[in-house]
Amino acid sequence: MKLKPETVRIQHNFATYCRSGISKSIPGTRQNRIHHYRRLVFNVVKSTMKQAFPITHHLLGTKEWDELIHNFFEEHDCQAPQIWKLPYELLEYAEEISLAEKLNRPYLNDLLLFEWTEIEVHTMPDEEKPEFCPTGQMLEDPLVMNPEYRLIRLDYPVHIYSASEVTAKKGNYFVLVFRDLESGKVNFMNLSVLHAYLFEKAAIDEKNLLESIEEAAEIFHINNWKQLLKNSLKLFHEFKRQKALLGFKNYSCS
Amino acid sequence: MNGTVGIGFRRDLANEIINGNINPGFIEFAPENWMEMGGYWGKVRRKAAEQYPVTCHGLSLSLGSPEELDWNFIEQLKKFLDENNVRIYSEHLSYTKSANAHLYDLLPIPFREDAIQHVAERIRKVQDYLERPIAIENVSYYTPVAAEMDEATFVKSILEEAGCQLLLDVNNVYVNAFNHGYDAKEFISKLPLNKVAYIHMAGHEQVESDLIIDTHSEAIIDPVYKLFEWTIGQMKPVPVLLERDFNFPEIPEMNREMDQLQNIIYKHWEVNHEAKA
Ligand SMILES: [Fe+2]
Repeated sequence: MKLKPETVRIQHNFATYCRSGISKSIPGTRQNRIHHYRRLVFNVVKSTMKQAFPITHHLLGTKEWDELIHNFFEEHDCQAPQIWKLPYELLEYAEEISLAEKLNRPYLNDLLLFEWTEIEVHTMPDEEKPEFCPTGQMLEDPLVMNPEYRLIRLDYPVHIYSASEVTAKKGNYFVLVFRDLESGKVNFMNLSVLHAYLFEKAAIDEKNLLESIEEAAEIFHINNWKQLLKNSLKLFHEFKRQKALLGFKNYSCS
Repeated sequence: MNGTVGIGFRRDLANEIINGNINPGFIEFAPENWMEMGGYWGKVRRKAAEQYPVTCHGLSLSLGSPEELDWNFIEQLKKFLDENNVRIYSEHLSYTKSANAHLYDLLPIPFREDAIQHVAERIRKVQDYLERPIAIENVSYYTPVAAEMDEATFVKSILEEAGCQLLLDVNNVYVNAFNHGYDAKEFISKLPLNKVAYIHMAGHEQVESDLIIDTHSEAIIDPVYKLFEWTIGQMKPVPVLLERDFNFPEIPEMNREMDQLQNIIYKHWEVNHEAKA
């Protein structure tokens, strides 16, 4: 490297000051100016995070929130060259430092994950659009699900209840977050464990619905076959209506 | 694109630019804000790139870092530049990464001999990999850091050592001249104006009696228009870009600023009044 160790040290000290506010001696600087750099750096990071996590920001209030962002930026080495990916690193950081426990808000990690997933699904790279037939047999034909989705599992139903109610509702919740292929709009569906299972069977294993329901009946010990069939069909018609299910692999169509 | 006025392609302006309410000669993407992004904004970016010639102005390459270059990032960047048929790629003469952490802002490189050698070598490496020249932008800075020379000498030396182009930000020259008490025209005279790939123009904010911050949140002020007019009188036609990042005005006001730049251009450069691109 062509940089002298002294120049490297000066540059690191300058950056460290911006992150921590701790000023080591940086020769040849104007002392009444460098605080603007720290202010400008934090403006950018704070506004990015506030935009990414509006609910968490509102919930924590300015003091707790500012402290979180300051600690995050000082303690965590931000890796994303693209700042719009940085909110994911806050989510990882929160898990690392057990933020939810520290702030006595057990649902906090779920809330951060939920807010991040909306951004992720809105911005993630396009998947190749699969071929499908708009009409077909819901039970027998292989289904073509929307490939642009994330299925997340939460302990706390932060997508349904407000913070004051959510702690008492600990359980096993699934949220399907998917992107409308035409408009790019992000949609959400609250799913039970059984419904999440059926969705993944269709999306990943490419099983037809009837096979998946049969498997589900066994795994979840469901005896009321008629009711299961009826509910599952209702669910997949709803997937279709909301375009989480695009259509059918039905070769007569092409 | 030479002699045309372009605009920084921001989300707040995207629809107005695509539907032609703002009709620039070219657009400029910050590649970091668009690369690897699909969905709604991916579509918007593709549409805009089909309609207008494109330049790119990078944010995170961090040419001035002591760090290793991030080759994964540069690989993605190359893909983006190729996909969008980018005519000019520029980056800041600053650093945004230190001790393995991004800071997302433009930190001032010490104006030192070893920094010249270091930065120039990095520029050459990236130019080789991208198979295109980089235009390096003179940035605003609010304090010198352990300087051994003045800014003009530093910028000029980097251009010579790296064999790269210059993105001349006229507003940044004005800001720095004000903040550090030097003569803006004298500064510009010291630069190799034949290496200018394009020009940036922007507004700024005066926050103290002796400090201007380069915010891109206000309209261009008259002294910066005057400095621009004087500058383009010294050089051959290049593209000129209006940067606006915050506090967006009404559309007619944006168009008025672009028209004002275009009218100054018509006065000094022989450019076709019809052909915008
Ligand atoms: Fe600029």
